[in-house]
Amino acid sequence: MEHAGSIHQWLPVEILIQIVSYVPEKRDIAKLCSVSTLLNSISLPFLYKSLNIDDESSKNWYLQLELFKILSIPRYSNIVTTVKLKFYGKYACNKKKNSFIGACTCKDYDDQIGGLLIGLINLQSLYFDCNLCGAEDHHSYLASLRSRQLQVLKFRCFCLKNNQDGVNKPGSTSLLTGLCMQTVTSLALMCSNRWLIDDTGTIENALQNPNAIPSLTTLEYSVTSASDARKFPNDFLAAIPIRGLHYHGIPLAAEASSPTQQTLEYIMSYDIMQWLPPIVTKHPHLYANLRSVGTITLRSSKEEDICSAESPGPLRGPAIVLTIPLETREGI
Amino acid sequence: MPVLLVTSDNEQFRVEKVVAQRSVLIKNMLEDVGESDQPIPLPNVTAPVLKKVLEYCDHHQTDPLPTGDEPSADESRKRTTDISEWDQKFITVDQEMLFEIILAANYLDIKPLLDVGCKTVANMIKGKSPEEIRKLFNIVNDFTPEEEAQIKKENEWAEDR
Repeated sequence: MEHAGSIHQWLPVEILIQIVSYVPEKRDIAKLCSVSTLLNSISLPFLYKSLNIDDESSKNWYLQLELFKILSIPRYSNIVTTVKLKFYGKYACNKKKNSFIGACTCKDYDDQIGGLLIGLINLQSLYFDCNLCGAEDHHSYLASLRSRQLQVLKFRCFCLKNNQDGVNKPGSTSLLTGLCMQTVTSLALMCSNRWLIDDTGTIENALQNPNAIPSLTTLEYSVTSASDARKFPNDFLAAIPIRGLHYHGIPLAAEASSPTQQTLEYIMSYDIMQWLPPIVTKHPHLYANLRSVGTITLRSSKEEDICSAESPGPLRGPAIVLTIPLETREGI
Repeated sequence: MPVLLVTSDNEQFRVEKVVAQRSVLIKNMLEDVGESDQPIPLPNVTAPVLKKVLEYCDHHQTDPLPTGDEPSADESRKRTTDISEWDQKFITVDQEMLFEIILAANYLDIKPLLDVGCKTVANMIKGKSPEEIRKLFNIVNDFTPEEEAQIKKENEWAEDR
């Protein structure tokens, strides 16, 4: 084929950026980085902006560890804004293809991931799905994240299911009031009560601390509690000005005496039609601004906001979110 | 009412308004000028390229117009690189014409056509080595061998993706 000139001369940078945005595979984007200095500067952000680290589907964990080394270089780590972590300890506990030693290496594994996360100063979204064994104390680095731009924290971990004494509880009030949490607007927590909560007793209490996540607008939580009470957290919701709630559980009906919630615009939950009437229609004044409710089913969808839950069992696939407009409350 | 378009090489094209308005640039011009039979000059497009672009606009004249909500580059990466059968056949042209169509779609502001063009180039890149990409698009390697080796090594982790 005859060339009148190179692609550089033909197409302006903004079109080259759009072309690279359509290259779906990171291995191809990595190739573009080696083509020329111009294509390198255009392609690098697409390679590093959003990282998925998944030790289960990874074919070559050795290369993943290389990524960890690269991310100690600010030129690369400063690009990263989104990290999705999913780890099963596949290469740690199996002691295959890994550089760790010891009886259970999950902690070393986790520490390495922690070292990586701490240095990402422009991190905005952290999705964390931990399936490491419960024998160790994990994730104590969370309070040390250096990013001051974190907006979304979605955290699912049941590491410390067993009642150990003297373990450091990284998800305690000290984390929720930490510097890296000041900018968080969307929080999803799925973990055992023991792991998350320190002396305050419940997640609701921890979040009512005035310094805990002051910018919070969306909350999703499923914290296994020792208590069997499934009362809808009316008092708690009245105290924190959030707009969205994803509630994992079927609550008991609200009481007329419950405090009014002024900011809540949507609720997502399971079996919404079962519990919605008692909560919303019986005492509509409780949720003056509620505009929509949603229910979660197990079908596949691209919705990433809600993709896992504890009850009635972890969702294996992504979930569908159906949002039902609440225009005719009387009709429900 | 037909619209008269004049290319940079002074060729005139008389097209239906509904076809010409696939171009947001032309649509805005027509709205600014109002009812008029004045020819619209397109100094950045040659006749062979405009002929091709109008073929696209004619085929897609009844498609819904794209909304103002432009997805970010990050979102578009998640979108499929699939191209419809008709579009694929349409865009099977030599590389020079492909780039001309992309530039014209950009200038005339025909977002769906720009997408088809960019996706086509992206598909050409898939699975190729840096050297093959250079050859394909006539790009000069301006890295030193040391720089190139280091970049390759640093991005090696992406081989797994």
